Amino acid sequence: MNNRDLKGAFVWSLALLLVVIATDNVVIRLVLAAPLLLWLTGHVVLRSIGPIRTPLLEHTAYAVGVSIAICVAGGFVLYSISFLTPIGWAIWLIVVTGAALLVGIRRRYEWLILLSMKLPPVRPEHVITIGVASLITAGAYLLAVHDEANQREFKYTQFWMLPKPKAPGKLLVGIKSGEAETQHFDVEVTSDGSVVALWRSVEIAPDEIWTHEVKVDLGSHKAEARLYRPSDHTFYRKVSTFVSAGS
Amino acid sequence: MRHQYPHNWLSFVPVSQPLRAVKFLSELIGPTLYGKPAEPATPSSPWITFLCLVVSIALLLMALGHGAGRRGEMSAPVFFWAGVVLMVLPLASRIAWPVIARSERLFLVVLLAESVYLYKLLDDPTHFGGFDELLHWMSANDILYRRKLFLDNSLLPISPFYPALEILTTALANLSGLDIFPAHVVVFVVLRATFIVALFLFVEKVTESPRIAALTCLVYMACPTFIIFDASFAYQSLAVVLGILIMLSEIQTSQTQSVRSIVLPMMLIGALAVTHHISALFCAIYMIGLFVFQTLRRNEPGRARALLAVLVVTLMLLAIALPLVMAKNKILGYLGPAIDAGISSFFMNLGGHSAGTTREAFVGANGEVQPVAYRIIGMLSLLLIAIGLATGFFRSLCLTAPTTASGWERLLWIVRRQWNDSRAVLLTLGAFGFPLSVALRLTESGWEIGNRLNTFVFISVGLVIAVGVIHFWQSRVRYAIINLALGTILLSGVILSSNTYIRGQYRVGGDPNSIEPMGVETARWTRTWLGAGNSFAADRVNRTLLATYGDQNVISSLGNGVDESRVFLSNTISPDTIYPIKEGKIDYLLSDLRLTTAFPVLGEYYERGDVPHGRPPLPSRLLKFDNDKRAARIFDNGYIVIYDVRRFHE
Repeated sequence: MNNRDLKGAFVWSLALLLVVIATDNVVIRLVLAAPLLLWLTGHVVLRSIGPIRTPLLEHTAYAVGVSIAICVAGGFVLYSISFLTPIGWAIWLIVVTGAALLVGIRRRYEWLILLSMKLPPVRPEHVITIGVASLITAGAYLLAVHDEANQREFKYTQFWMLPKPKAPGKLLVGIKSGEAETQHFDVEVTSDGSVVALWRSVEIAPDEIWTHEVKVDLGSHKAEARLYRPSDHTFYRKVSTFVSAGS
Repeated sequence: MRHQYPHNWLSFVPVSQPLRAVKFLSELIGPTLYGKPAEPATPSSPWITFLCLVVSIALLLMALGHGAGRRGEMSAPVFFWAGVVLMVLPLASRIAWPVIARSERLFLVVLLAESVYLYKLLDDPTHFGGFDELLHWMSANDILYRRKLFLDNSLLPISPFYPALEILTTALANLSGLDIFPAHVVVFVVLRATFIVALFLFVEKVTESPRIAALTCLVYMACPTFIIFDASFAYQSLAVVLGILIMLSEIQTSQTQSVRSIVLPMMLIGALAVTHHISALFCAIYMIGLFVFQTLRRNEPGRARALLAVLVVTLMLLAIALPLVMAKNKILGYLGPAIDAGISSFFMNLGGHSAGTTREAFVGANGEVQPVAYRIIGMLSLLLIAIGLATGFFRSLCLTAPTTASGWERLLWIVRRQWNDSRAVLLTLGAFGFPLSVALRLTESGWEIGNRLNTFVFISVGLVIAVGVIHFWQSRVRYAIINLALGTILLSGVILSSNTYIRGQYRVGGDPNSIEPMGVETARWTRTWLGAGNSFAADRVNRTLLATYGDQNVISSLGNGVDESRVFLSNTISPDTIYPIKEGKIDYLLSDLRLTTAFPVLGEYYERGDVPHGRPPLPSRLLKFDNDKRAARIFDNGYIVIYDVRRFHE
């Protein structure tokens, strides 16, 4: 039995472990991980155990299914030893491909039948057409991403007030702008009817966050904050919080 | 043996003699097989490359349509539907063409399957948008970031007991460093191709015809669940792949009759057991049905039947009994009411007692009626499927009868329990599930069951229609008409696959159409400023956003048995209003004032059956906690307000 593919898969899984340890490069890791996780482990297990003889196409479909089964089993094993980590997964794949290699070495017969379908003749114009089609498809996807990113149906300003954790009597007032343009606001904080803080014409650019700490009397029950838009003298937002809630 | 049909077949059309009418009907639905053109050995590269180009242009048009829809432009449907027609019709025509190579057919069905997946991806290109997707994303996040299985999922309590899809996706995310969404795209591209290849090989083995296999795949892709539901990041999407692989490997086991061969389906059954409950159930029903037919069949080898029995027992023990032992209450609590209500609703409608349980076809839960063109295509498709089933049923049933006879004599062989392949007989009878699924889809409580039934029933529907097309229609009508009919069925699948096709502007209670940046930002705000794991009550859509983007513990009747809708929808703050807050120990309430602007697309604001008659809830109901001393309005963005209600239960 020719074991080159089994040996190759084992080396591949070792390479994946090294890459997972050494780099965060997503492309390299994906190129190594996806084929191994979704097809190669199933392929080597089918080759080594050899439950059935099938043509390559059918073998490929089974290999995906068995790879999934192995991956799921791996999830349970790794969870049981609290090792559901990238390195844990890489080691699991080494164990699977290594075990398949060991079994494969002891086997002496071939299970895989080679491809029986005829491939179509390929000319340069076909390659160019496929290339153009791929570019258009990629363009369609990027267009969808672009349109989604630019969809901002609602213009809004988030306004909040919370008790500061582990700081009795201190409150946190915040504004985040989801508007299309820079806005100016007046912020007023009151406690039991009296003003405890006031900021005039606070400038907030789109996506900018503004926060400020306010100290209030611990004896009061609730504090209230109001947001005004001075440009058109509009009362814009109102929030409140319990003074002692964070203490 | 195939028979040449007389050219003047229209002469059978009844004019005056009743016998002619009977003969016409008999020829129409009878089991006689006609014609089977030989397939050339070489696939056509020009056609393949041309169709790849056509599909890419179609996808670009659909992307333009979505973009126009997001901007609220009127041109959106023109671009979008031009793209859909361009994707479906040329590919369907070529796949159905009588004389093309097996490998070309296979390539083209894979191309169509992947195109349909890209169709779905263009709708939500960078994040999960479907309701079910968000539920499973939550479990996947738990596995990826907390590195634990079986953590509670308040949105879908049953999900942690079926973690296979999440394990697979997070394994790739762990190893590659990708986030869950891109990792799932890679996984699903592979799953789609695997499913359609496995379905092709399965039908090809049963019928010994690559053309029937390709046509079955083509019709299957018109199944409404295939296009969106089974392409969603949810457990059934993986389960259907495992299910079809189990069915395929069972054939292999049956042919080789070796004990070793059973290892493969066993491994797949093991994976299915932790993937999806309903799919495991359908797979078990198929295997039991097959075992019954193998037992009924004359001269069935005992060893093959014994191996099948082992598979049936394994499936029953691993995929049905074991999950029930492990999580009986959650599984029965989740599936039981849905199945019970669906069956009751179906029989009530059957008996003519609608009692408000009937769903009107082509009318949304919010009363919105589909455009006339959609309704026409939908009805036409239903008619075409019915014709396909009528003309293909007996032909498919008797496809593997071991006789060269023609006419109804073939049926006698089946009645005498003599056939070559029990799968063909079983699958043909499975087509009876189609009218059942249609009837269930027309009931309020049964449509979910009918919807899921489609996933499995369409394998039978595809097979019967494919046999009908090849062994009856292709020798009688022009190919253009057959192609048009198949294209219409596929278009109808697209129409029925979703409530809204083109990505548009925000809609109330419309799941993917209600998810937009402001809601997501609010959910993220809760995680940043309140921390993770607070108890939140909110509407259906914001609940999923809070649980996923916000990492909050959401309270609902499904997850906690607490119906929170009255907290929001009641007019005043009464003991009844605050009961769910106390019972569910709710810390925060999220009121989305946009709910007051329209009826929900999917028929529920918070919980099923909570939509008031007449008009949407008044804003004063959602803002009633403003005047209560025990509540604090901690967040406001103009549309969404969050109340701190911890003092109600502290």
